[in-house]
Amino acid sequence: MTRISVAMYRLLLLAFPPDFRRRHGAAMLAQFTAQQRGLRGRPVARIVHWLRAAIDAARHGLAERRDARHARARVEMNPRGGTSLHSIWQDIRFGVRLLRRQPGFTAVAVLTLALGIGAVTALASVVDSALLRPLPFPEPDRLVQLSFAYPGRNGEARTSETALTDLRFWQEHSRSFSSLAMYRGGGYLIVQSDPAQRIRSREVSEDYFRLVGATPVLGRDLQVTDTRDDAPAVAILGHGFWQRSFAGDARVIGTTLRLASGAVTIVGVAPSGFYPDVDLWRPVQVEAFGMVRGVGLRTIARLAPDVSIAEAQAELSGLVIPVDARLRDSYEKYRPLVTSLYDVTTANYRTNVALLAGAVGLIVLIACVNMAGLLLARGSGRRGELAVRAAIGAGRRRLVRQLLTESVVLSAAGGALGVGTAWLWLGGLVALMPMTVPSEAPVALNTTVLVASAVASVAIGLLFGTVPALTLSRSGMQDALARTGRRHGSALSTRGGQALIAAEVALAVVLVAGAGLMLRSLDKLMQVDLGFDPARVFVVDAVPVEPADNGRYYLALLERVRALPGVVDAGGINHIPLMGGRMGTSGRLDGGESTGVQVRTAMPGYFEAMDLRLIEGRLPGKTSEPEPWVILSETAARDLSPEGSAIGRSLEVMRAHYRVIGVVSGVRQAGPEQPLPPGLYLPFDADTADTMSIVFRTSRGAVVTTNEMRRLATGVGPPVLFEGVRSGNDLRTELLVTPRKRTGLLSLLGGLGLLLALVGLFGVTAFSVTRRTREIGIRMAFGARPEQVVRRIVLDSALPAALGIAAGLGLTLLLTRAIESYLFETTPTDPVTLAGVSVLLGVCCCLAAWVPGRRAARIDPSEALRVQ
Amino acid sequence: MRRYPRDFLPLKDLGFRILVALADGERYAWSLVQALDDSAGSARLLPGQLYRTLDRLLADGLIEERERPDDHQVPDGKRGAAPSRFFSLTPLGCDVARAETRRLEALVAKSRAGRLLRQRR
Repeated sequence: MTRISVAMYRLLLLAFPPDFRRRHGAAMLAQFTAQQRGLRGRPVARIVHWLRAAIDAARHGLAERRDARHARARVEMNPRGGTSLHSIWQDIRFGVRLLRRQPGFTAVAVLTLALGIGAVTALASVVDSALLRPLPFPEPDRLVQLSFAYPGRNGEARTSETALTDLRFWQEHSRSFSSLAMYRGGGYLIVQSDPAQRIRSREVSEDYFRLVGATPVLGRDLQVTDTRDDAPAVAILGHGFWQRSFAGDARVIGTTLRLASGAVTIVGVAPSGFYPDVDLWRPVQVEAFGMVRGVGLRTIARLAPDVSIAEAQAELSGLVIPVDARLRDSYEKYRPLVTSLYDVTTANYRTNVALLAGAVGLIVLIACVNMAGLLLARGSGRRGELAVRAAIGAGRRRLVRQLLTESVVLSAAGGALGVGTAWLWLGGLVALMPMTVPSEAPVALNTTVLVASAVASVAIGLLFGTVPALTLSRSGMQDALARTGRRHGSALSTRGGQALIAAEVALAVVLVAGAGLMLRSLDKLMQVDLGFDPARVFVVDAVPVEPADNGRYYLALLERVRALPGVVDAGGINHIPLMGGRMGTSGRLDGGESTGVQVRTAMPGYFEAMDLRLIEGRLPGKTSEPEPWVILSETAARDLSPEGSAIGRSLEVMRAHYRVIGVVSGVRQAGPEQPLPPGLYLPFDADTADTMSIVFRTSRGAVVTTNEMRRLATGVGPPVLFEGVRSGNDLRTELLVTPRKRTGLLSLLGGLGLLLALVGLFGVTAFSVTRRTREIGIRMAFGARPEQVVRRIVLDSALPAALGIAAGLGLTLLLTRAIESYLFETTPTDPVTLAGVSVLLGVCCCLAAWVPGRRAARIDPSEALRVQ
Repeated sequence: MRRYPRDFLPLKDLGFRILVALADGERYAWSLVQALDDSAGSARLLPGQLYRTLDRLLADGLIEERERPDDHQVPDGKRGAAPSRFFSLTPLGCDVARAETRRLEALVAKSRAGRLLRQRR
């Protein structure tokens, strides 16, 4: 009993400050023990004594701690003191006063940092949206994607999507998942309302909503019976579409929506914010080809509690999915693959984000080096003040703290400004981002981002204030008061200052070189021969509301377009160039070997409208041809008949035979950076016509307005959905939007980096010139000519800048490999770009040093000598 | 900076009682506890309060402390830790104790002179 109570009392003594415990702890424990012993045999009194002692220890211990704290604070009120809140506040106020007295220096430093931290903030927002919370679902880390891995023809690893039967099989036999679902982007649909509209749809299986944790706000969820092929067509409205087209009317449930494929009954409304770009959710109805993989159906699943991805993978690998004899051979080598949905979703963003992070990191580094340089340069003018403070008793620690506080005040101001501007710019910055950020997680400033920026600001202040603070405080301590009147040499002449300039320039070289390479690559991309003249070719997108009208409609529209003044020729095609639409299959000539081809359907006049070069044979007539014809592209002709001419031979494709009548030059179908595809053009059949695009070429200078075309397209007869006219240039621009944005953003960052480096160089040089006024005066008094002074100052900065350029080029060679995959026909070591960058940087650096140098040369020697 | 006895007045009750207890001579901690505890065995005086007061008196220079004096005889038959810390009054402490006694005396005399005690009778 005594032992336990003593042990507990020993613990209670922890309430006293350590110092006090050291002095009296043992004695107090002895007294307590003795008193407890004295009460032996009187248990109640002992307990009462123990309780009183406990209260006594807590009360006096805490009081003692409070007294100790007050005593320390009293000690620190004097300027030599350690670290209390009060003296830090004093430091901050003093720092702010000093900074306000030098508005030029402060503005440069704060702006520099604001740019750096603003960039970090913006990037953090994007990272947060793209990488940290791309899946706005409950427990996103438990979601996986299921697919199949199989070896390609050349042994490369390929993945395939899943089939409906795979999903049903896993749902029945797998134990690793709490639920599985399937989805497929359903593309655009035409709603035959008045006016007709085009909406985006997505097909999902019955468990999809439950799996991702969404519940319809109105009506019911999809059910397994909805996915049968013979089930009545139903759909769930997207929240935005419901608001837009039905004004949020709850009576919409049970009504029907007329689509080209037939009427569908609306059974529910998706929650707000859930995939805002999807207007209509429909059940997958694919039983007819339920076993076919690779038709766009993706399977996702939620792992059952306590099951890891590896365990799920092991289970699926052990399950054998029964496959029809017809497909068994093709699917023999398919192995199920379980991947984290997070990894799948973020894979596309990672390289882009890494690239951005690299560029922004360099900007921040430049901004920080800049600040360090400015602090050091300014500090060299404060040696006198620091020496005085050291002489009246401020210790080194105290001086370092003061200097660090100032740099943190600076960086905090820069951070606040940076976050503020980032907030203003965020929309613009996101528009500049070379990627589509997932629509479910809009980029926004949030707590995470703000905390990241705040931490970055303070860390930058501490990190890059430390070196100047330590250097200056040491010199402050060493400088005898007697020496303070004398001006010291330039901050530049010290190795530290020169190293800073070199570092800054080196970092800027990397950024500018990266931007330069991207610009050169974009330029090459723009110069690629597309196979047609994008400036004179236009595409009309008009879709009849009733698919049955397609054939008659397009033929009539084509005639009218041809009759327009200024139109040289017009035709039609189902997959317009550059947009990547394709229908891949295989074909063979006269029963020869079959090769892969891309099939397009062309209306007569297309080749003339595109101004494709006829290489061999002839083009089809505009009215009718005696037998089914096919036109080959150059690549297809080479692939199909490598040995000789294909003209006049019979081509078998999609179980039909066509006569080859001509070979034309190729067109970039999937984009300028893609190789020319083996394309072939089959004749347009008015009875089975799909959606087509009318393509026409104008004579030079002719203009066809969108309104004119709209009148034409809607005036043909059947109701149509007219979507506009695009020129070939529009298509190319649309296609190059990502590389263009990436180049634009990197150029912006490169320019920013260059600007920051120059500001830093200019600042340090200007400061050193001010510090060296007396020295310059002496030189000039001894006969130095102004140009000699300028040369001296410029050389002082040019040498470290040259070193920086050399180091930067080395760094560039190492780092630009990261952007290799983004470069088109440009090597990361492109000598022209690197040489250009070096010259640009060199000239800019000399200019930045020349301006303060010239000011120095105008110094009147007699004035300069009087300067103290 | 020199401090005068009046700077310490009025003393807190426990501080005054410690000074009074030490006025008869040096004491070790446990004997001090016993001297201060009015009714023996009740363990009224608790360590926290005692040592905080002792600490304050030491810091103010009213008492001093030393390790076991050579001539001290350890009382036989007592169990517990052998006393190692001895407290005694400093001249300043002595003056302060006297000044406080006089102050209290004056206070009591004034009270007696007034009607307070007479009324009760």
